[in-house]
Amino acid sequence: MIEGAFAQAPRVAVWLIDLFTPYEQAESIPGDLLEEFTDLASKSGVASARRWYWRQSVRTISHLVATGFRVALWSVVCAVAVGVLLQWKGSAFPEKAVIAVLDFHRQPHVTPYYTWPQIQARLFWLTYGVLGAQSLMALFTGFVVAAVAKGQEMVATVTLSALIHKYDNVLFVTLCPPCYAGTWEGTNLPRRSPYNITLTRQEREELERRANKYTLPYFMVARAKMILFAQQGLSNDEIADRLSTRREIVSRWRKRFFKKRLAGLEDSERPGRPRVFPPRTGRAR
Amino acid sequence: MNAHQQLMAVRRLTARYFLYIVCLMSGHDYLGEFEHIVILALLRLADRAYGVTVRQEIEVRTGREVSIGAIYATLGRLEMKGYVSSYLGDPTPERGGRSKRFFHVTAKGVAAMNRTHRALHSMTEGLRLARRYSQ
Repeated sequence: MIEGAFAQAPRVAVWLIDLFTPYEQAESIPGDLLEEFTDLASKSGVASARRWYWRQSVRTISHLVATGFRVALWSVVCAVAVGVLLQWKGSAFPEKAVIAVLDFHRQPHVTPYYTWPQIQARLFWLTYGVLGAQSLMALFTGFVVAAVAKGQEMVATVTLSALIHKYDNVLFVTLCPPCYAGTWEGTNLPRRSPYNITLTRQEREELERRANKYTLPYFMVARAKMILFAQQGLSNDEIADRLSTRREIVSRWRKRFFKKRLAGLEDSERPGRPRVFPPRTGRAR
Repeated sequence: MNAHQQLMAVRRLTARYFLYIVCLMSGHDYLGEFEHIVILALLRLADRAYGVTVRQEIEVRTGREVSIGAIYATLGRLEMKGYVSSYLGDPTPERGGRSKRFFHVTAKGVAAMNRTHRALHSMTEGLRLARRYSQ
């Protein structure tokens, strides 16, 4: 049981599942897989549970791709068509733009010759500037394709890079947004804290005593209030607003209370050698 | 093709399209094999039917390993047809704080299942399957 509780699902498989899961099912499919994985890990060992997770992930992803095509065939087709068009019509654009910038100050009929350092600089910018501009172009294409195939980005970009494998970097570029989408709207994060607080009668009395006391240190009062609010079902964000503090702080004390109950609300031990009193004598001054 | 022929072609197409719509709306749709199994699993599990339990129920009863993706693809299709409805439950720690999605069969779904059962029953009536085809 204990082994199962600390088992970690294969990270790569979890990441792939998160990538391919559409927004509506962001809670149900990964949640179900994780729940069954934990159960399996405690029953028949972590290794076999991990194998099971991988098997399930591969088959689930194939189903998700098929469903994506069936549900949003036209938006996927449009997105792929837009991507092909952009790359076809726009692939010469980066070179042209870089050359235009390089020649901006040069008047061909007045200064016809390059000096050696000029040629070096020009060659440098022609190689690295064009490389950079092409990456930007791929980035742009990736975003446009993802925007057209709203909700089915992965299906569209996988198809696109299968069609023109020269532009595999488009796939790479669209692999990135889901990674930081979590910081935008919390798509990959649980939206409610998993640590549900329920109190026994003694705990509640103790916390209320602390929360109403004038002479306790402020941090004890604030922590007690956090837990009491959490028990009422408020989210970490709301609690942070009410106590004018940050969500991360509420989250920390909620977690510590969930794990160690009242003992979790005390300060933990500081690092370093414990203080001694009285100070040792005979120290050089 | 002259203008009259074109008009007639358009009319024929329109008529066919309406026929298609009527066929869809009359709701005489039978369940596919896996849809049938999933609906039966939902009915067996009653109010505790969500991804994990449905998958395990099917695995235990039919002995075939199905993926969670297959279950959700089928449930999504059934939900689009209005045979199944769903709601989100509470998040739990063993799911990493994610909610469960509970499913239950609607009256329309039960009707479709009965229709499929009747069709299968009338097709197998009089056949002595057990004697003729087993082992």
